[in-house]
Amino acid sequence: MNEILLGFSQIFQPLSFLALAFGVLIGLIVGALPGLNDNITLAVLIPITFGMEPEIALPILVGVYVSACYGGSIPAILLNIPGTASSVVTTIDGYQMTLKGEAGKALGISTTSSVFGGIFSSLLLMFLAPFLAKQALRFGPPEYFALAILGFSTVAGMAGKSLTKNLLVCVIGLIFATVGMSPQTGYPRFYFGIDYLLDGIPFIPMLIGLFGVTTILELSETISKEKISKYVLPKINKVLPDFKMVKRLLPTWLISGSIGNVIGILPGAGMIMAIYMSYDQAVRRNKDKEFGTGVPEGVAAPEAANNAVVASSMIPLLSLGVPGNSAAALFIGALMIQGLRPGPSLFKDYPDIAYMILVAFFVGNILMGPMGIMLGKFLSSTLLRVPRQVLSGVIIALCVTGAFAMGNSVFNIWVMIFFGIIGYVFNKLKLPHSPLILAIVLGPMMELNYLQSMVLSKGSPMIFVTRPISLGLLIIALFFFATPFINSLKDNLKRKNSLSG
Amino acid sequence: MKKVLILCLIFLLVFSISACSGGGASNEKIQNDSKSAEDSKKEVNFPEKDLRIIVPFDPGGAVDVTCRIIAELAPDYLNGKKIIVENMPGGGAVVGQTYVSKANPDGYTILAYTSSVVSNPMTKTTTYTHESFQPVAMYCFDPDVLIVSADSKFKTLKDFLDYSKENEVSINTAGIATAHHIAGMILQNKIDAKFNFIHTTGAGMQIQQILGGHVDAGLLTTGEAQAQIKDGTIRALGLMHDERRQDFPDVPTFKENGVDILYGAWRGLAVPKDTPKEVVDILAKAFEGIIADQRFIDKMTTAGYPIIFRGPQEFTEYVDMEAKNFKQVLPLLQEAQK
Repeated sequence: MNEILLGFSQIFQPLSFLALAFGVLIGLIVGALPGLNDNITLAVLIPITFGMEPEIALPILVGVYVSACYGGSIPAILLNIPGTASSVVTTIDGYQMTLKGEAGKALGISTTSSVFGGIFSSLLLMFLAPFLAKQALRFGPPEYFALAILGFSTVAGMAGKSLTKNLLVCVIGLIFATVGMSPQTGYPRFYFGIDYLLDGIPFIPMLIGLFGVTTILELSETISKEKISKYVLPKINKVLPDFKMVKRLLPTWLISGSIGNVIGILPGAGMIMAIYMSYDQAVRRNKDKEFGTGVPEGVAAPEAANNAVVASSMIPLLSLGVPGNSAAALFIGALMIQGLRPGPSLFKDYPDIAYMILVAFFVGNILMGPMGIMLGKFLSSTLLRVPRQVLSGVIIALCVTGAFAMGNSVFNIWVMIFFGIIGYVFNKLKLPHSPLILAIVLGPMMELNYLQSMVLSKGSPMIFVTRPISLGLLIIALFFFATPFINSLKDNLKRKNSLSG
Repeated sequence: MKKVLILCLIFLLVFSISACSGGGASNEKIQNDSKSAEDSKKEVNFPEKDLRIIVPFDPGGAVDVTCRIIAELAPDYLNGKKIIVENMPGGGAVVGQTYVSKANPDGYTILAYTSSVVSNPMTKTTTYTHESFQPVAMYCFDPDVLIVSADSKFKTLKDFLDYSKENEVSINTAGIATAHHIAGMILQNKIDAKFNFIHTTGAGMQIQQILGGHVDAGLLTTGEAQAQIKDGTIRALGLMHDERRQDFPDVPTFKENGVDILYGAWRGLAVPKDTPKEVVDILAKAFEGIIADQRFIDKMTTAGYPIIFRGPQEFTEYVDMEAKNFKQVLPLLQEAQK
């Protein structure tokens, strides 16, 4: 406890506090800009922090990491373009709320949910990190494979009535996911002689295309229909949800926050998995509401989950020295350059810095709330009043720059355009985007861990059912896959009964 | 009307793309001009403008960080000219390596030259080989280390060597055909063992699998596992180096245990092959200065990157030797790919 207080006293030093607030602001802005994300920002900032004292450098980086994924929800809600990959699912109900004139409400829900998720996980980070990190080590290749299967089972839940369409999109996604070198043999697949595709389809440019470019194409349709853009933005009066709403969302926050924390602790599982799983859970628990039409839970679930992943992904890093995701890997670089080794000894050798990092996550999440609301209000009142033709141009420029900035390559822009067209065609055919993204993210994870498991078990698939965690995950996945079918069976039976009765 | 707008949008996209690529083209033109200028004057005046180091990996990794340390000090050694670090990841470094192999051989485009420059051309279809580059300076050599979990049954390297001669051992690497995989295959050949290679996406996943007891052992660079080795959660069994490392005096070498193997990740800088010798020499001298600079030494040491200096001649010989080693295990690798 003393150490935690030490951390607080450090983060409330004027310079450290300012650095943290600065980081949060930067994170919000880059998060809100489609095409820029936390990774690219951290990568740019880390060399700049070389010359700074760790008391200043680290709070900036923590601030960026904490707030970027929340910043991503702002354009997801207002424009249907996720600012970062972590807000992909937020678009589904968030944008519908905006269309219904509830943009302010949606932003408020996203803010409170993010702050809740973030504080939840930063408390775990402060008090339970070593214990949780040990549990995460139980996950080996078979468990990760089972986890990926469980991730796929969310498609069945999210599908609602269009299960066939969702599964079809999922398969298309898996086909895209095979592009690149095989992880176990190094054999290049479907890369058409293009070196850029050897590591798989670049993910961020693809996402920018699917959302950014697709949205602009759709927008251009409405512009030409209406001749003049008369896009009246909803007034944003009241942002913060009232007590009734908080009470309603609390179960969703707790469940999504827990999912986010569990996924965050597991190195390599990733934010995308967490947002899909928590959205899926929200859908399953609220059968009476029609998701995809602007349901508050549909915004609360992914936003609470993605911020819960942020701080908890630092648990394996700070307790074991193992980075949980690419942002955490960048933190290793930042710590090392300051002469700090991540791992248990960090807390022994440099308790002031180590605990300051933990506390910075907590304080950063609190700062994020009011700063985010201000930014959200500012963006919706100024930027979005810009005529849509101009706005489209601005967004396209951001998309192109963002895609190019990932790896300084023009090829990424072609990827963006390609997926922009795919997304547009999907919309015309009323095919959902989200199973595509899920499959592209989970496909390689499933494949890699399947192959690793097979090497370990010398080719026996029994490895997946003889290990308790893996077996448990597979059973849950099976249950999730089966529920839509069971439900429709039940409905049929009911109908028969009512007919005969 | 709709169609016109869509057309306009497509035009806008294409325009912005050509604007992006256009930047590159004009750049090359400038480089061409400066090259012809150099040719006319026999006296080499280098550098006359800022230089670029192309890092063929994502930002934040060891290669990127070390190149940025060099870039920071560069103006003091290159007539005040700056070095700009540019990341060009993709294709397991093929993208960035191809770019530099085709760049103007004028010394202004430098490649962060690492082990993968040897392995890529042999395992993938590339337009270059390691001989398409003129090595300038090696600044870091991080030997591979064999690690196990702290509660592993292998207490010493001898335990491991004895056991693996009789039994199959699972060893994880940072990916197929990486330097670590090659190191494992060479070791396998030398001690006549059979390893089950588990290929991961990088050191983080390797360490996690070893700490969790899912995999028996792993091969990675000392730098990548230093935190866990110092914390005692991971035991380093043996170092693939001539001598023990000063910062890990307790870790024995393979050589001490009768297995002569020198392997690790090396990091250096190279320029396209036809770069004039004078320019290469100027660069080599500048980098030698940077590497001896106390500020460089301090930063590399705090970050745990072992420093070494090899000039153009020695570096070329080293890379040739590595290519020879690699060719020996290539049939094994191709076998594994089947």
